[in-house]
Amino acid sequence: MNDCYNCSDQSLIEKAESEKIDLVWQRYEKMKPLCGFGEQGICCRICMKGPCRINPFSKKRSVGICGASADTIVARNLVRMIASGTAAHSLHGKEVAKTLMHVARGETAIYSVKDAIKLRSIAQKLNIETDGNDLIPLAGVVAASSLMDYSRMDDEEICNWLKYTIPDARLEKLKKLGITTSNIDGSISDIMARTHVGTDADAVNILLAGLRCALADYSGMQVATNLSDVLFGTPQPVVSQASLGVLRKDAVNIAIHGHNPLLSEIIVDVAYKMQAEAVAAGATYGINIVGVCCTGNEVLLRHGIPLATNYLSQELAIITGALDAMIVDVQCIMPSLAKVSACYHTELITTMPDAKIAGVTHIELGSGDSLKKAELIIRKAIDAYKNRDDDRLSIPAEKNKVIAGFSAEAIIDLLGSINSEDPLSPLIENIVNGKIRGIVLFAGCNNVKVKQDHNFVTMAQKLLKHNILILATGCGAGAFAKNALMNSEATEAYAGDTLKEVLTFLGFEAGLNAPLPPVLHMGSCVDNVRSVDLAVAIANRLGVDLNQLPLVASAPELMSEKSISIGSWVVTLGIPLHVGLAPPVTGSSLVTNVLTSELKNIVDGYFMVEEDPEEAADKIISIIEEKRLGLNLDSSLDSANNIEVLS
Amino acid sequence: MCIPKESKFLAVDASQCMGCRNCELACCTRKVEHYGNEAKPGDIRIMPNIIIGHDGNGSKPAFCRHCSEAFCEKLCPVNATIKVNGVILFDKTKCNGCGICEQACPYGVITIGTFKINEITKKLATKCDLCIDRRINDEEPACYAACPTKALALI
Repeated sequence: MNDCYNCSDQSLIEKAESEKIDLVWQRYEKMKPLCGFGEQGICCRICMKGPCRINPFSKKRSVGICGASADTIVARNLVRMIASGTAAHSLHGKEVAKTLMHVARGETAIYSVKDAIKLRSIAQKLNIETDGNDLIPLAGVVAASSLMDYSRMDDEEICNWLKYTIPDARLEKLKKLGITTSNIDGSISDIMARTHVGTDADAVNILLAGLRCALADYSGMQVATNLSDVLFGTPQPVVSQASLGVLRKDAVNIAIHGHNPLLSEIIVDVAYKMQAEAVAAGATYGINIVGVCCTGNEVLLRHGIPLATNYLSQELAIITGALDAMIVDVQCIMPSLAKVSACYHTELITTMPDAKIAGVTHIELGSGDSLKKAELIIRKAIDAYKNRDDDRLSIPAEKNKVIAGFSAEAIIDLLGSINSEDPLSPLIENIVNGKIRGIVLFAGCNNVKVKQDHNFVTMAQKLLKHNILILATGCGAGAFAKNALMNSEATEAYAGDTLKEVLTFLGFEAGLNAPLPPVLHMGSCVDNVRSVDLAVAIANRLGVDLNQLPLVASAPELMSEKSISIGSWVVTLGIPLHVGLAPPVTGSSLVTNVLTSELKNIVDGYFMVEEDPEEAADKIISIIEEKRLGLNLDSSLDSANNIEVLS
Repeated sequence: MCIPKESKFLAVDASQCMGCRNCELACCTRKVEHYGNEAKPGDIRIMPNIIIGHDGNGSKPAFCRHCSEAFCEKLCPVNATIKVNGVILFDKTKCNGCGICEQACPYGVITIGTFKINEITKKLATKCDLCIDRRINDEEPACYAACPTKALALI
């Protein structure tokens, strides 16, 4: 069996094998068998009396040394994953907010407010007085208001980025449940405190706190995405290319990998200015920047920089032998890159004080001399280029056209060219008349337990055939970009008749002279909130709550703790979520039951585990039809002759 | 050699195996205890004689069945096997570490270890002896004792 759906990726795996370089797939095979206690979440390492494991087959109710049951242990482990995911996203948001504050105080020459319109619209959204406020002081107020979400002391309050960004009905529901949050950092320490040995032992109470922390994650992601737009510009549709074929033989190839645009934007700016040096070194094309993982998505959306690869195949970018430097910041950086890059001429450079790898060159960005340091980094890449071994070069020919940059604002602008009075109406009309059955958001990572990108592509092809519009973020978006599902040709090839008709109409009306892609690239994983913004706009326009919309989310190849925290707020906002692998909770029937069914009665959203992508697509289609029925729209569930649509 | 009169053998309920590899660890730990201070680190190579395998459906331990017509017994060129109460054991003084039994074992649970005796490194075949030394003291085999779900049984 192939390890990757994408053939060019697969060919490079074979190259690595012939060169005796171990990649993630080999390391996974060597790690097998994986410990079943960890897989089921019933291994507790919280105190030093243990570690304890619960025997899932015991006839007596087995407990840990302190007396914690499987339910308690599973719930604690799960919410700690949520807290870690929340910390990762919200720290990213905090860094961006602090940078905006530095801009407002005139403390940085590197960054500036690039999108004044977005700044004003955020101020309006956050209920900040915009009249008479000049741009720079306003940036300070917006940054302070965002940073307040990390430091508020009054527990009765609610985070600005939560209460002003979701429908009123949803907010009321969350308030009643007591799971709104006033302080993002506080929610994370709440989880760490209550899961300390001998504190909260009630699994349901722990899970509710987990949902609160997940809403803190949501707030932090809102800060990260929206304030990044202010500093670097709100994405607009852009045409580029994806897959490893974007590396060039005649260029100094530099990959930027990680998550935070604060780093990648500097590298991109500096690289443009240093083209001549690269040409002088013999690279006739100059410098070719490519993206990996979510940094790749950020710069693809804002600058049209080609996307080389997504999470699981990050090592393969080096195996091409064409990559001269890989510059990384935070999250999802495999430590193995150090070893793999040592097998080639590639310079691996870490840039963040909180994300170093032993033995790897560290050049810290983020302080006053960032521009000089960035120049140093680019110069290292140019030097490495001179050492490139052409005999080991293997750049795949495949590169696919991508139309990306569909921020919520971009989609609304695009629809506004048809109806400027009520921009959402073309989309809503087509959902109402059934030409678009519903919307599915694909998010989440790659996981070595699944053939890379296979679940994404298989599910998308089936859903598109059933006239369901797809939004994508993170490594899901990377999967679609790499495998040619984000261009007009994909609409011709995969969209059902009525979806094709709508996308073609919209594409021509918007002046693209081609159909819109059937899968809309909304950004990196932190940008999942963009799709919420769009869904909230639709829900508010229709006067309904999020759970009533024919909208389902899916993370078919999830892997990281961040995916668990995102998944948890998605369901808390009322949206059903498909996951392609069971999270480590199956050791507790109580927790599993709460997540997959009881949650539906409390917050309307719930987790649906389905490993088979074909089956998963079928289940999603039936959820969408059920939601349509709930809105009194035509649904295949209400009449016998329409049931064929499902099969 | 002193062997309890009645031998109990290992059995497995694969559906209860969590793949935690505690049995592998326990097997090796017992061997290390066994050699005590005789050996310095690096002198010996210790391999478990119960090995967790993995197929698509889950994990499952492989261990010595003490076959009634054992290939290791039949093929050993130096007749180093001893059979006591149905338990197959190797005679260390006869074994020359040729590795034929390792290849012959249908379960793949005979391993060749290295031992340093009086500055001479010797290769010896090792296999499951059902922890005879522990049994004398009324203790269960190390792997069985370590299995947290009792997927391993003694019958």
